[in-house]
Amino acid sequence: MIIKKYLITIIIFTSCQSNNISDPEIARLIFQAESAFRGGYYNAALSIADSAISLNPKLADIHFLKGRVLTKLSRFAEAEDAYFQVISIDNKYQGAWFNIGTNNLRQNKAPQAIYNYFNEMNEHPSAQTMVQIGKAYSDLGKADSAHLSYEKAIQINSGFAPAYMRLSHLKKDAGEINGAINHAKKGIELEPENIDYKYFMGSLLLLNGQPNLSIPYFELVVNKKPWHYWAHHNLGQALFRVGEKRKSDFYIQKAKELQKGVQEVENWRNLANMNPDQFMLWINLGNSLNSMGRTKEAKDAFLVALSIKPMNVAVQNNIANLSLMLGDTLEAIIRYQTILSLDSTIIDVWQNLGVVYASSGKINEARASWERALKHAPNNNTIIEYLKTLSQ
Amino acid sequence: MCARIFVIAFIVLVSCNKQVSSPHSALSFTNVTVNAGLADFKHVSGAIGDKWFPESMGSGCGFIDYNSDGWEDIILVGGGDWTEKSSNLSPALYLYKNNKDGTFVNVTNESGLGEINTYGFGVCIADYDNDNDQDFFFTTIWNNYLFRNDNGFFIDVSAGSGLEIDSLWSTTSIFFDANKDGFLDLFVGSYVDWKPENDIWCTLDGTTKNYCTPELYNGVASRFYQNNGDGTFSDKTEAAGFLPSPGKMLGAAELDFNNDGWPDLAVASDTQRDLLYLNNGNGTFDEIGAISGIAYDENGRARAGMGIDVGIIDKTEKETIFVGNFSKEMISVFQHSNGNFFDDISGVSKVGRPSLMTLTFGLFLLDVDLDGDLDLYTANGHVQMGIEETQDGIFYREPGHLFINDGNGIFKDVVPLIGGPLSTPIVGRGAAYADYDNNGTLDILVTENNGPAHLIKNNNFNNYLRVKIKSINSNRDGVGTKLIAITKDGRMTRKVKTGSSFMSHSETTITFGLGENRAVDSLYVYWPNNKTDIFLDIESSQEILLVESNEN
Repeated sequence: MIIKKYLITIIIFTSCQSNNISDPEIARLIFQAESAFRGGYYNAALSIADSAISLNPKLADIHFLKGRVLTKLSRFAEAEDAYFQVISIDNKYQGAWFNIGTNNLRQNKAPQAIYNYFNEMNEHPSAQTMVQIGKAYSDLGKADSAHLSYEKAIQINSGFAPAYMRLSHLKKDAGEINGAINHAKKGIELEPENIDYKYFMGSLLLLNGQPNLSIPYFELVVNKKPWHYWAHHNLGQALFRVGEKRKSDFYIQKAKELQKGVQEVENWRNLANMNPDQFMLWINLGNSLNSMGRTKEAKDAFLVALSIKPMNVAVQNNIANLSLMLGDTLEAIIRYQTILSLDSTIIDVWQNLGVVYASSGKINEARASWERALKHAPNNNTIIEYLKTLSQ
Repeated sequence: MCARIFVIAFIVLVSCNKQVSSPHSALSFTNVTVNAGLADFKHVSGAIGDKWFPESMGSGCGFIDYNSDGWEDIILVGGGDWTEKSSNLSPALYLYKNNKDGTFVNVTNESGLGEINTYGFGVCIADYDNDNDQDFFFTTIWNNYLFRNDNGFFIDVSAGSGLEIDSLWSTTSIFFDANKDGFLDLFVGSYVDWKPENDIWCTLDGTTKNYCTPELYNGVASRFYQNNGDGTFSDKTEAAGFLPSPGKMLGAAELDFNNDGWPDLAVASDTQRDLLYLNNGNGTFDEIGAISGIAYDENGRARAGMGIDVGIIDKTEKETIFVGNFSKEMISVFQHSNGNFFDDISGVSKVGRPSLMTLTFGLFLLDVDLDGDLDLYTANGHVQMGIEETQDGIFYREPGHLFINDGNGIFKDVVPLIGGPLSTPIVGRGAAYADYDNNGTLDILVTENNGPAHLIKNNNFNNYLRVKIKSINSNRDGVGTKLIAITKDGRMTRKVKTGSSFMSHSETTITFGLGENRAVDSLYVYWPNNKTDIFLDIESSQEILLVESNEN
């Protein structure tokens, strides 16, 4: 939720500042770096950013972009250096203090985060920053300060749903369930599609002794997020309480099956964040996410792994496959082609590339890919059968 | 089940003041460690700079009436030295005899415990051989010890007891009569597969070594031993359904959430899911922690469970499980709802938020102000020295929590209000309670890692009834006996149990706080063998001994 907002903000900053860049070469590099970043080509994004910096080290935009890439790679200290470069060039640069604060928060440095968020507030007051301040106070166990921060966020922007949801969490932790429900209602009203909010509301209703009302919320969550352990568990509990024991058993059992995966993901995520330069931790995180069907998150983890070992064909292949699962045919093709440019003898990749071409109607490209595969494996029956289907 | 109304034995041991309860802000405690003669104790972690994982974890403490004189004595785990490094080994155990005048004297050597050299963690005390005295089990990082009490002298009967095991890091243990055959069985919690050879380098600041957290080590499964009734035990871990198990277990408490009369077991695990073993009544257990809802936090993550206790905290008569967790993890509070399900009421109970930043080890429920409901004490302290430098709002030394119950299961931490010895920051670990001075109030014993023990005298008088149990047809200590006292103000349910807290043992005498009531109108005793006795009109502010009838 927060990451999503954060990206939106950054996109606005970047395009806004880019209009002022007079040197077309630098403008081109920034565009390329931004594109590489969005495409998950983190090393390329960093290289291009460095090229731009060498041409004009006084351009805040490119340092800012570099900070974002490094943040994505969990290289927080380097990211912070980049953001401070931004500030040394333009201390009113929108988002720089905010991003430093967020990095602080991810490293359990809540007081520093608060300080940096307030710097952001001085120049660019926003409900989003105020919510982050509240979150930092909450991390420090200062519930009253957190409460005030969320209320201030609402004063700034009464339509900012996360502020209401954060208040709802605070109320719940304080045992004020009715108050929590009221705030959650407001949050959902503002962001009716937010599944996390729906889950939270279901939990509050269950806690409030209203299992019948909680069931539709949990059902929605398990449909949208079939890996959600707690939604399954709570749905099972709620169904038990309204007398639907058989259905309850099903969801409780499902929750039990999911839990192992959830635990595994959390373990790998913690370890990867603590040791961001460890390739295998990101791979294990990606694999555990993928096995739970969390495709987008798995791809993100593999992208970080790839930035550590850019020539690793297996990771590139995983990313291509996941891109395909996410419906991004173009990226899958580019990834497969990248692999084949590194090693043109990998039959599986030629085969996959053919499948992608075929499924997107590019018959000639599919044929060419499979024929290349057959050169290396003339007796591969699967590929022979694939080629036959093209003839039909 | 037959209900009879007669008093079998009624021994008045103590008579005490009848005073009116104080408001929370007037609650008062005194640290009497020095005057009580306990100042010579210091837990030894063995630390000499290598930051070996076990050094940060110990250790436990307990109250034991080792000489059966009706006064609670004190047993403390000394920790230990690494034999590879130290030539001058520290005592593993300390036993202090109660002089009945508020002081204690060190009787470790005279009681046979002076020659024990190991690296110790916890104690659990019970009359496992039903011979009317208190024996105890002692967990260590290597082989555990079973000590049989022979007239106040302890004999190491580990060899041949069936409790000899491979060198595993054991933590908390609990005696309970799992199959209700009249002999106490033993559940022994195991932690992780750590040895000096596989020690891992961990750091907070990226340069200097610090203590690791358990995620980095493989868990070791806990074990369950059935008491054979002849002084020996049989390992029934697998047969009874305790395998597979994630290990990393630090706390265990007996409960009977479904009221079927068979003791269940709740287990706190460090960075692994908390466990709930449902007793099937046929010698086997089913682990239903995840199904019940106690295993994980609201994000599906396992917490760092340490100390644990169970009790009835409100008028619902439903059992509630409390688990102490790591810093930035609230104390877990799960109340039984229906079926096999529990509700997370950490927020509603108001225990959650005030406990968010502290790292809780020792934890138990007691009626500290004798007003009739169970309050909650926790001993806190971090495992990482210097944590202040890397994590804001977290401290190595932490004050304890004393959550006072308003009678409806809503708690308030009064330590910031009352100050005093409970507010002194310490590196808290084990904790136990007993009325060591026989004045009716429950006093608190707490240990520090690599530091002293503290005996905290409770000055908050009120009317009370203390009940000792002696079972004849069940296990001698009456572990598993449920007592319900009814006064004009309502009912109080308590259970005789061992275990709970963190590697520590509290007295098994039951204390009912009566507030302004001068009598218990009726006292129901549900013995483990399903018999029930009812006692009527019992005067307040005395201690009585109830001996189970031999009749069927």
